[in-house]
Amino acid sequence: MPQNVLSILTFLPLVGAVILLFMKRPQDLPDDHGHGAHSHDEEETPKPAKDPARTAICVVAMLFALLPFLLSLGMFLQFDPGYTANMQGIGRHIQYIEDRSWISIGDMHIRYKMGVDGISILLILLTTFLMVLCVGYSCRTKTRLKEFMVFLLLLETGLIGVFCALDLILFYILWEAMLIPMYFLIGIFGHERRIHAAIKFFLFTFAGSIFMLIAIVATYMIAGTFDILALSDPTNPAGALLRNHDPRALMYLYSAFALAFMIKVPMFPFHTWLPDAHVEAPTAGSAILAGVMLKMGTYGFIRFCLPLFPVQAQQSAGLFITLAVIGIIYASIVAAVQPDAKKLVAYSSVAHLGFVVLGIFSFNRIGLQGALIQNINHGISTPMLFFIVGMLYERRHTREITEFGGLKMVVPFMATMLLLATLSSVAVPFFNGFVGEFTILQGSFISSNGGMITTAFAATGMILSAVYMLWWFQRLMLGPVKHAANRHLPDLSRSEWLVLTPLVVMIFWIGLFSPYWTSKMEVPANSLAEAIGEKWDTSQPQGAILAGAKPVESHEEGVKPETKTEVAPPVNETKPTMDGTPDPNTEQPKPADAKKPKEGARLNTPRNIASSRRTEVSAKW
Amino acid sequence: MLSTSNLAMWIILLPFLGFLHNAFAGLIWKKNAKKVVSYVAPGVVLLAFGVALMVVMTELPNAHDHRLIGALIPGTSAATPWINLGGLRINFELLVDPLSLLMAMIVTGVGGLIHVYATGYMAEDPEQPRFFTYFNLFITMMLILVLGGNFLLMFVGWEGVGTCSYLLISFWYKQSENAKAGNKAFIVNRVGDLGFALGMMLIWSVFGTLSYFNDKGTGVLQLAGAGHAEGAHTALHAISVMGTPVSVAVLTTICVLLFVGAMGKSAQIPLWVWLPDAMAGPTPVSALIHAATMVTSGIVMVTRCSWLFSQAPQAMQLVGYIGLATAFVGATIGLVQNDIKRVLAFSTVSQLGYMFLACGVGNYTAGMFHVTTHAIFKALLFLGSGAVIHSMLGEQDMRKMGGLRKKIFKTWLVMWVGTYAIAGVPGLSGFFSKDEILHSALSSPGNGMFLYAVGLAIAFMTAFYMNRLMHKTFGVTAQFVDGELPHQHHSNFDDHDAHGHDDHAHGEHHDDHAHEDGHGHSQVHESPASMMIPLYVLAFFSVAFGAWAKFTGAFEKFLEPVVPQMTHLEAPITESMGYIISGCVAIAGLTLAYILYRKPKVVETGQLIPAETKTRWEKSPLHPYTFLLNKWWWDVVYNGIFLKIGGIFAILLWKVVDAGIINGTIEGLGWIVGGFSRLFRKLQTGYVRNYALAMLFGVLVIVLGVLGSWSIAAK
Repeated sequence: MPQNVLSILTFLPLVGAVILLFMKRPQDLPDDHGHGAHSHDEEETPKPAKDPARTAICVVAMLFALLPFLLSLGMFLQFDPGYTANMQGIGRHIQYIEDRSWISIGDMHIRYKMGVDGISILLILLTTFLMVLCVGYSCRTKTRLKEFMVFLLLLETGLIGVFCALDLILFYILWEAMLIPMYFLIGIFGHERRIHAAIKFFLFTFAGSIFMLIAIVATYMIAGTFDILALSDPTNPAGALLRNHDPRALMYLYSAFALAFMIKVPMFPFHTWLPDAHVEAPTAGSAILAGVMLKMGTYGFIRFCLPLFPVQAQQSAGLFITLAVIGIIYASIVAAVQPDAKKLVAYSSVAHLGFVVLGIFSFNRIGLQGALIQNINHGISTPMLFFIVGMLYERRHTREITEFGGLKMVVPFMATMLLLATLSSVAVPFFNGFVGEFTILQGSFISSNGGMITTAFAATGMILSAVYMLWWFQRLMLGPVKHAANRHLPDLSRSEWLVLTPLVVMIFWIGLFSPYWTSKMEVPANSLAEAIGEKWDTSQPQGAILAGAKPVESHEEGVKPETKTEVAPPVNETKPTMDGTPDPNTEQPKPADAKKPKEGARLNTPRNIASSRRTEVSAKW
Repeated sequence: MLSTSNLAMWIILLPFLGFLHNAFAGLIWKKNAKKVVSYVAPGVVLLAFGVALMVVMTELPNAHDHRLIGALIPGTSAATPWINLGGLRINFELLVDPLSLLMAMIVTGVGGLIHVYATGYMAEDPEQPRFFTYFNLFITMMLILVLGGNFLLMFVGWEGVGTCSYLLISFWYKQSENAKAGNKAFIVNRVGDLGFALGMMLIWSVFGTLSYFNDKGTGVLQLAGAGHAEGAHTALHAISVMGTPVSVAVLTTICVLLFVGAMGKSAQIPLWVWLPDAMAGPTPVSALIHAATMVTSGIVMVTRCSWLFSQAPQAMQLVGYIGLATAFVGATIGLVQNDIKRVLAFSTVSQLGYMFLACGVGNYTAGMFHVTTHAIFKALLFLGSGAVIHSMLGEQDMRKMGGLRKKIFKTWLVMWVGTYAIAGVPGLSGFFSKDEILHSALSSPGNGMFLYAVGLAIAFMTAFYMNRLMHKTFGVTAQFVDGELPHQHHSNFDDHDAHGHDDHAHGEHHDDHAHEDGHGHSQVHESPASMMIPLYVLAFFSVAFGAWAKFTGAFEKFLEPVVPQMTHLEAPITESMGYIISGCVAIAGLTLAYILYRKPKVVETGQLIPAETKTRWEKSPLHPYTFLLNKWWWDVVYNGIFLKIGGIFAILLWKVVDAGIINGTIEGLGWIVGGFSRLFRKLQTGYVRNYALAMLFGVLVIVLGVLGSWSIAAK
């Protein structure tokens, strides 16, 4: 891989967008919006003579969506999951680092610093993967095809950039930059109330990011750098400055960051922009919005809030978990009664993202990793739901659930696809959603921030998701065909198959063989968990409290019960959950080291030791 | 070191391959798809049965401690887990032991027969390949449930069978009723699954793993004390992963949470409401999923966790009492139902309660024994009723049947066998398994007498309502005109829509049927051989299995290694005395129904109580008849709470809180800002003179301000 692979990856779509700008604008196809029930006949009529300009636009856009996808796939495959650098903080596992001086004004140095670790590479891969599907799907866009593709590619640049940026200002610029194409995607290509939705979307996010900008500047004034690698590293002078600052001021900074991310996620009660934006956005816009943009919020928590302000994050964990659980239950209930098919999916996103936040603020590696994989899962199943709803909309020009019914008889393949997406969203085992949901709940169960009761409340989301999703599916697809207009809808076209099939493959790939996808994020997630003081390490885990047991002081001497000699486990071999060192992959317990993770002890850990440890462990297993 | 099994995975893989084949059969075989599927689908299940037998014969006897582990997916091992996230590590592991093999044999054996039956039953349905796709998938999931080597894989099967059940109940999705029944089944089951999931999480946080057994001896069941033959009779002590004893409170919490899962899947109070509605599915589905296999997985799970339950006496009491209550409620409702499948459904609910009663009093072997015999005779009864329905061209209401004995003699014969078996007529298999449960209930300390008495009352009711069913269906005068039977059956592709849907959308007895148009007659007729042969096989085992298992002691011996041996207290009566009592009770129930339904007037109308009287009774909601007919008002209450009130709450939440308060506040903010803008916009008039005036004003203010500050400073 070339040294500046991340820049290439980020700006490839931009290049594509620029090329598209210079291409011939294709003729708009007749727009049959609002023709009502019989419009499907028109769609079935052979497409008007192929416009070469249309094809050219689609080919170029596809090319510039595919290239980043292949590039990021290559990066993912080449990625070293065990890479550990000689530093603390998030920088420990960052690879492909690119660091140039960019803007220097006096003492202030804004650097162009990019890099990825196992957490962000997955999100980048998700972005490029979804973008291929979105471009493929959007080739059918009737009006202003060229502009649509330009905005999509611009959006991709912003999204990839956000996940790569390691400098606060660079991050902020890309974070804001990506709002603009999205704003136009909703505002120009959306449905009836698109302007309102676009403005609402923009203002909401912007209101949050303003606070974030202030916090970024304030952080600079405290620590003197925008480099989050330095800021997140307590052994670095800048990181130390930040950590030793007045806790109250830090709380304000943390809150400003958190507010921006909360709005983006969106968490209850800042979620109301999402249903509007989703409903009005074009299908590809909804898919990207739900699939990737919401993940920027959770990514923000993981990349900025937790590593930069671990103490404050811990203090506020109770609040965030409460909001997450409220969000899960509340959004699920509200989703159930939505008359608009797309709005229901939008509310379901709020509920699913509630799970992700719950996992993050469990403050242990299980919850954290569950949240990370659930990010990806949601980015697969929800876009799939949006694609299918979009296909229905194109056929019938309505999103009212009551306008459908009995479609399984008419469009059996589409119904099957929707069923798969529904079951994935309901988190049935062996579908992708289950892996994340169960892990998150397990993480929150043993977390002192969560606990059994909180988890039980959150887990009602399992029931509620079945309620709203299955009822939704029933009303769309089952029962008799109620409307004459639905009698002769065409089933999936070839391009629709091409869009949906990769998503189905991913659903079962993650659902059945999750380690393939999760192995790369394991090390950074564990490091992060350690860095934020993994709550269930330091205090007693829930299970132990219930069991009335005290954590065993010494690892070597598990209390052996007299009667069962073969049972008594040497604790360090049983990948225990209860004592201080839960994960088999990060340590062969060296009691002193494991007990108090001293920074100094880790500084010298070269990366080959880390990876050799991993192999040892897996061999043992 | 645990022995490994290489064969066991094929028990699961064969039905799975069948599932894949059936799913794509339409693409592969085009027009011949139905024919190929009708061989492949039963074939793979019966082959899997063969493999299960082979494992029992060859691998199990050589296994150390009667226990083998294997891999679910070829090529996977402990090094290639399914989930590996932050120390939560779940492998694709199988546990092969007598319990899982027993269940595997029931699932593939009885399931295979039901598959064969279904090839006849579903022959006319244009969506037959889809049916068998789900059917084979169900078998796969059920096998994962019973053979899975850790709790999470059991949960996979647990939810997997629930999903298949959902798909199959709503198989004839064109009737919205069926689709709703499917949803209800899935959602109610999910309530139970929530308990199961929380139980698993607690298990993981206490024991540090979800595997039942592992090489290091730190599997959950090992930590709970299983696998120590020598220590089996001493008191058990579960120890946590840290080597400390686990308190009874924690174990009780675990067991109660797990049992909540069992309540859902095995239709126990208060989560039983989905099972009667699940009869909306095709009859083979009711036989396989909602009688023989899936609904018994709760008992399997409790038996699997018997090492935990045995250390949580309070949880066991809960299991026993819930089981008893369910058995009682189910039996009472079964007394008055008119739909032939519903009677059997409530009978299933009631028998499942019996099985939990057995678990609750600590005799897990008896529970599993009843699971086995019940799987055989209840499958027989359901399939027999399917044959009746098939003969009646889709009629399910017993009030419209009668006099079928002569017309479908063979069906009548096998149904009698099933009825005697479930009623507990001495010598048949139901007799032995039921007696075993009653006997151990009686010997349980404390309130054995109470459990025994209620158990006998339930047995009496069972005998009564089953004989009632037989009389109403086969005995009394025909309540229909042969040759003029209405066609009630329809697949999803019958063209009923064109001329109104309402004519057959009345109540719940309209949907169950395969198409028989080809024959073009509307007379009662015997079912084809593919449906009858499984019935004969099941009838044979309904007669013979119980006695064989009891007198050779094979069953008890087979299961001995997997359940803790409870210290048995002496029952107040001897075993042979118990036989006599329960035999008498069964015969009494049968005789009472015989006497009542042989009265000339009853034979003529087919109704024990005249229809007018019933109509009068139904008017008062508290009349016992109405009360039972409406299932103790259980559904009405649930619908009121969860659908009506819940629905109103949801709409309020959306309209008032979400759209009103939350969104209103924010949009209101925007409106206020906009309002200020509109106000200040008035200043921007564009006239220079206005700006000049404003400037002058500004200058004046500044000058005055400066002068003022000077004068203040001067002082």
